[in-house]
Amino acid sequence: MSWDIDLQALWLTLKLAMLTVVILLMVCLPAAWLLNKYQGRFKPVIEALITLPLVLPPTVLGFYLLMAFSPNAWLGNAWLQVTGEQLTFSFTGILLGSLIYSLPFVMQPLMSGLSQLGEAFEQQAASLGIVTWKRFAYLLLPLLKPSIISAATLGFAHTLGEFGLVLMIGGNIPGETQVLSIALYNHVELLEYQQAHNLAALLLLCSFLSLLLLYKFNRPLADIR
Amino acid sequence: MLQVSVSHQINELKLEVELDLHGKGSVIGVFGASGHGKSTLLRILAGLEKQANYQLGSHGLSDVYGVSIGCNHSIAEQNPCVLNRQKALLFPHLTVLQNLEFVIKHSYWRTEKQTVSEHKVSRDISIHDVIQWFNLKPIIHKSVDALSGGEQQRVAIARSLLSGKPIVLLDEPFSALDWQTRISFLTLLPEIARRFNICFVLVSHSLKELAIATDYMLCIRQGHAEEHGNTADLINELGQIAGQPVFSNLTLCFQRCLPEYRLSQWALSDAPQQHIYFKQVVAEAINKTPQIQNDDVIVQQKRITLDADQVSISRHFNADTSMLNQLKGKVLNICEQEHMALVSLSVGEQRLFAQISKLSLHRLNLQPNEVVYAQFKAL
Repeated sequence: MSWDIDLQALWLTLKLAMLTVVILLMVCLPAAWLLNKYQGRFKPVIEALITLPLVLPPTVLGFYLLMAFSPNAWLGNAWLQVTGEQLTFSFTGILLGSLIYSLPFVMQPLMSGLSQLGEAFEQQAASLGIVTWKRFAYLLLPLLKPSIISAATLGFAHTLGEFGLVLMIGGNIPGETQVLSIALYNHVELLEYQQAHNLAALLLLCSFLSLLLLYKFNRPLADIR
Repeated sequence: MLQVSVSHQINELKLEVELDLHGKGSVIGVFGASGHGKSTLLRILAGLEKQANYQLGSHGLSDVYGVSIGCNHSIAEQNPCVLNRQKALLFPHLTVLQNLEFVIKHSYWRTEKQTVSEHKVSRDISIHDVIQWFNLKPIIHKSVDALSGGEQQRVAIARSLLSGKPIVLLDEPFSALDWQTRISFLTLLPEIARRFNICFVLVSHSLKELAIATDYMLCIRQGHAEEHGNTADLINELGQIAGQPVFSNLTLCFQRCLPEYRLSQWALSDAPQQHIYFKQVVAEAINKTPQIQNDDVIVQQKRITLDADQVSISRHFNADTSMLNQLKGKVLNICEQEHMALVSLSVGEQRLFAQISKLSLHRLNLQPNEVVYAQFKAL
């Protein structure tokens, strides 16, 4: 019985991490590209906002999101009107939370990759008559591949380990919001150390493996320049 | 074909250039020491300096290239100039061939701008052409990282030519190549320009490079185009000032190959009976099979440089010498320097310089308007 719940938690965790990474990459790639070009006076503000989830305690972030997601707040209310579902204590809710929570981990490698790459290649391509979207699709994306892999891995591994935020906005609903880290906490609370051991080892292994793959197969950007 | 008005402040340097290069030939040189704004001028022309105040006149562009006047020159991909920098900037995730194909496949000027007036040449430059011109066959499948600096520059210029843009800006394009290879590529530029109706702007700090490739040149000092004029005229003036060794700049026409001696025979463009022999059998292209001959560039006319200290002077035609080249000319003037004398001769309509020792000068007792023979070995 409890093994079923653990499997469910594992699946939920993987689904959450995967969706988070995919959505974040789709948003962050163009965003990082634009932000890298943007040199206006609001740049530091935008950068600070993006990096904020990195330093903020997850409970603080979770608390504000919980407030925003509640049906009494405009965001939660609007969501309820449009979809008929509540944001708090739902998978969508923790997915939205994870997106914000893991944003800096995806954004940072992309930003530093772009700034390392510099403008030279893009300017050269432009001068050769290659239009903006083609430069982005055929030149920037391949050149940024190492950074994209870093961003995806870090985003994935970081979402795996999310705890405080999910607990705040998602609670502890098996099959809906109960991810591995929370299932682990449950086991410990109930003094089920054997299951806790299994889950902890699983999380440790997953995280270690993603990072190992990252460092083993990802050529740093410096090599291709 | 190029009317430019540029004004741009970079730190201390104010770059102000106004030019009408219409009808001034198809290869234009820009000479100047480093830090005087040559490269910036090219970046502005290419639409890469957003702050620059810059107008590129489309006079002539529209009828020659079918370029619509609506092109926004401040958008680099729509600007008719392609910038070829000293640093090759090949796309590192692609091989040499893929770099070339990338531009053919994606360049706005090759895909969208196929419309064109009747003046436009019948075909665009093909990959086959550039491979041949720049000898890319041995490296065509190599990855870009594996190339030497000179190879990278060759691929870069090939790639720029494939962009389909009508004006190619070359910023020290052959700086990593040895002098012989450099000369052969420089000689090719006017020929490519003529065949494919392209205009080149060549930036260099070497007067010799400009002498070989360009028809018209300007000299930039402190951001201003101080002098401009026909290359041959300007070089004679600048040569003295710039402190570079004096050399003659001659235009030659191809006459024939002497393959048994591995020589080729050329003549002064305006005096076909005045021969000049070269050590190589011109382009190998000449001996190639007739089928592909049409596609090859066979350079029929070229400009060369001849160092003044390689030339000696004789009062009579000398049949008993191993020197192959003897040009008949008239002494224009003699300029005595510290321990040498620079004799300038007119051969045909062209000018030839000979640097001889003062001792020779006194022994020969040369006088202006005297007819003499300038001798030098096969080049």
